Amino acid sequence: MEKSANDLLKEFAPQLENPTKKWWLIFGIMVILFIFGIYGLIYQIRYGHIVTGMRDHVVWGVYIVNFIFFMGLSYAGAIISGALHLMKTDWRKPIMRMGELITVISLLIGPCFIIFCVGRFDRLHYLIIYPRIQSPITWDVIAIMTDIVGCLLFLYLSFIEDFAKLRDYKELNVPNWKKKMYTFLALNYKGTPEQEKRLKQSKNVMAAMVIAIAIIVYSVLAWIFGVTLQPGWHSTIFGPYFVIAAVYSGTGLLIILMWFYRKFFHLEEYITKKHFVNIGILLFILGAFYGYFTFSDYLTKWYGSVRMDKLLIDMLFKNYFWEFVVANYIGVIVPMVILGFKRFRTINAITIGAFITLISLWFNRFLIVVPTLETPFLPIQDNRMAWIKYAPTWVEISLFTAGVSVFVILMMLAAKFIPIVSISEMTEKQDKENIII
Amino acid sequence: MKNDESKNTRRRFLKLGIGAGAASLAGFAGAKMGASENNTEEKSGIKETIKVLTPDGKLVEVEKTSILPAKDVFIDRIKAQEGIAGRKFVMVIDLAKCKNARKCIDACQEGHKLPTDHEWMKLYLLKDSDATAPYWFPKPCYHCDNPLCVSVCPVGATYKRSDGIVLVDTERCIGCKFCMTGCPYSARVFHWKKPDVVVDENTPYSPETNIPPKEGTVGKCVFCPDKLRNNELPRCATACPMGVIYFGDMLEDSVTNGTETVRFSELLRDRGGYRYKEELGTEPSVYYLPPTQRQFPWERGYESLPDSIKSRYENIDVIKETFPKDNNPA
Amino acid sequence: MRKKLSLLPTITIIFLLSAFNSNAQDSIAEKKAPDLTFVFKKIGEKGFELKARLSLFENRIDFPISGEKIKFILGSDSIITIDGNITDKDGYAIAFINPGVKLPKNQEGIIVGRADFEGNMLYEPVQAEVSFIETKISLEFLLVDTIKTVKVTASKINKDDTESPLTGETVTISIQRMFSRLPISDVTIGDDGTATAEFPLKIPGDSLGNVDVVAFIAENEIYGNSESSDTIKWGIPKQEVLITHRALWTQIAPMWMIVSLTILLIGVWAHYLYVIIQLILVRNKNKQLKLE
Repeated sequence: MEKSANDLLKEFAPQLENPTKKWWLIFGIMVILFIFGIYGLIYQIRYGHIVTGMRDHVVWGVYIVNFIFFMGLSYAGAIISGALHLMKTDWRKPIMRMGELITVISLLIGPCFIIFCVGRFDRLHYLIIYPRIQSPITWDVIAIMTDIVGCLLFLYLSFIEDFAKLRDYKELNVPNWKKKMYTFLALNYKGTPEQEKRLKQSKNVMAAMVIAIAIIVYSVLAWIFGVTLQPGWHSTIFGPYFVIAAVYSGTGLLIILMWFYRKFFHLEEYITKKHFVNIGILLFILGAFYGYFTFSDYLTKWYGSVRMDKLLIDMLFKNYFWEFVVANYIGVIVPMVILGFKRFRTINAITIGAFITLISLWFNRFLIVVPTLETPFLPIQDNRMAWIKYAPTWVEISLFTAGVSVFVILMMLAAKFIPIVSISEMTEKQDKENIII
Repeated sequence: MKNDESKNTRRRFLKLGIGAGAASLAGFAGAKMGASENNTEEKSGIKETIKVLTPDGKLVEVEKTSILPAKDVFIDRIKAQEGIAGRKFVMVIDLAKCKNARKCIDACQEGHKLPTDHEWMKLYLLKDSDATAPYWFPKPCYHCDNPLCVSVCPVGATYKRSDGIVLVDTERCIGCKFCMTGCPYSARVFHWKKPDVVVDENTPYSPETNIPPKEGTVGKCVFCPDKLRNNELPRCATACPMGVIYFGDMLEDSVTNGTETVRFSELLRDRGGYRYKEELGTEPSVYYLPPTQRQFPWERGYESLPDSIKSRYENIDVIKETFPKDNNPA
Repeated sequence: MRKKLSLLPTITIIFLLSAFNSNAQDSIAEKKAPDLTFVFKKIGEKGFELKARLSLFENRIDFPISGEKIKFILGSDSIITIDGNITDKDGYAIAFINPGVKLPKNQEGIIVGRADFEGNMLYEPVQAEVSFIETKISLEFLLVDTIKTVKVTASKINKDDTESPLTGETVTISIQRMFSRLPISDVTIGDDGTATAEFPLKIPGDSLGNVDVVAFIAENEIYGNSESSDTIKWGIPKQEVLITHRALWTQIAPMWMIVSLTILLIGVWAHYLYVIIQLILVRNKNKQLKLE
């Protein structure tokens, strides 16, 4: 059933208007978690990094794991909405904005973990004023800055038409400052053919750019590990492996968000089972690739007789057995089973599968960063437990939950600012000739 | 004769007895600290003089620097980037003589004012395979000629000088610890909390000594360039009672452990010198002499240790086999 | 008798002072015994060097004691005193005696020297004494059948200032290096007071090939420490230090890296600029329309 823009506006307007009690409750909980994280950060600044679990061998712990994890989530929007935009698929429309929002918000949260991990965050600006371009971290700094600007541009481009519609919708019951904001941000967009053409061209350009940049940025992040000599990190597969795992995790998060927004904003009409299944198939394919890359990486490490690889694999199977199983077996097999069989493809089941994906990918990141550092070339001969085995402390966990809570807060605020289902996309005239999928 | 002198001494001491507290305290502090480094002629502006007896029987005072080379010139952050001209430093560690006396570690900790959990020199007990024998393995920073730690530093806080020494400038270091993951030899350590050492905070900072230490920055063995500029050996080489550590300038083909001086090329040729993990391609500046013809068994290096240090080695397989814990005391 | 009389006032003073000042009593109990080493060395034509080191061995570590006065006393019958030598931060007190000074010698021609630390509140007094017969060493460089040879002449200086050959003594011929001396050979002086040693091939010198050769006697029971040095251009020129300008690990990056990065960045940000221009045009074009 084709709905007009006005119908959609009428339906979605309440989302932007006054928040419900439920909204405030969830918001409140998230704010409390955030404040707890701030307390942890102040504690860490006061007493030094000794309050974390990191020591001289495992110098990168949960902070870096979270950094990689959140950066990975951002490729959901980048690659999915970018690719789907270029392929002009029809079913992408209700979920595009969610994807793009995930991208930008994760990109803003991820690098914050660097601030927590670095010993002297008061000198972070040295990365800009004294850069050494031979260092993979400098490549990462440049890449992330480029990525943030690019994704913000891409997101903003998708907002403009909706801002224009909201500006023109007389019955919108929102405070004046919000109305003024819509007017300003709509950039005088009136829907003239010339403006439409400019916007369309810009979107096409940015969609292509965003895909390219996402791949480059995440590969650079992978190469921070790949260029070192550490056993477990010095792997040629890391570039593509990280990119695939990132998109896999982002897709999982997208499904979860689809489920939540569908529930809270009653969007059953727009986000149907078909959407879940289609994104689910994407999840299936990505999961297969992820499993393949993981298997390939570990098989070659295990089969060859290099001692350091053997020590690493032994450590993984002895000390990290359950994490390994969750990350590399359950995280691959369960979503694939759910999506592989028609019988299991219900909305709830697919969402559970996506949730398992997310958890297992966090552990995958953890298993990449930490066990390698616990098996250096020269064996750790020490009597202090904290120096031998890494265990995250409450400070690191508090900042992790703070990161998650900030993500939720920003998603909630975004949904209050602009309809989560893009009205302009939904009512866009269908270009039937150029559909690819 | 001797009695008179000791009596004179006693008398003089007693006369000085009252009110000498403050002076002695100052002297004591000076001795304990070894006098704060960098505080010599250049800094205080007071020239040190030495007495010279001239042929006409007069005793004159001459500026120290006119006869002896200047000592302890302060090297700031800019000068520290230039190496000592015309030198390329190497170290040779004789594994046949090391018995884990750990004096090298003590001297390094003391000389650089290092906190307890921050060790620049480490001593491992290595056993390469099941049938080969264990040996004690001192490991400073190798000051590699192809240093991965320097390549990955994003802000240029660590650098390699012309004399081969790799230094860390803790005024530039942001504490990202990438260099620590880049080093395959675990040579770098971190200040995880405010360093609990007694150091005058007003001491001007020099990357050659890394004093005063800073929280949140990386530290590592620096080959004691402050000593090298005075033509003195690094502290670990001087402190070793067995003469395990040889040090010298590769370009003049001579290394010494304080007692014995040999030609570097001859030492490596005659004793089969090698570098650890040569295949990693980092080109270390530290060479090892294999543990052959040892004069004492390796177990002695474990037995004589205090318990707090013994516990570091307790989880090593060969220690567990050779020194089984007695679970059933008689 | 004299000794007994002077004992009584001493004891009285100790008693009175300890009654008034318990500090003194504590200090007596705590005083430490430092170590004093003394090296009295003849340096060729340059005279003598007197070097004393005051240190304390505690907790397995040797602590130098700085800022303390050391007195050097030469001779036993006629005495020359060099006072007011302050130990530096490494514990060393150094004094020099220029050539031409007549050092007091006893009947057998032995020079006696003593370093004296008086002690203070913290440290016991300590002395170190050395005695030796003065020697004279000189070096000569010859080509014997085209083989580079070093010839050492060593003699001892008797009480009446005559010289006699130092037959039977071992002299070490070495090359001065940065931290120490590299021994070439230990030679035994013959009846004529000389000995020779072959100079090693291919020993690095300075950038021109000059090497400092030092012949010395060290810690000899009779003759103490004596040395003499000379320079000869028999070494191979020292290799220059290799300096790499652009590599992964230098401060300046390799050129290809800089170029690639610039191209990539310009490529990407040019697209951003295009989009931003489009957005500005979207906004402004409409303004123009409005004006019309």
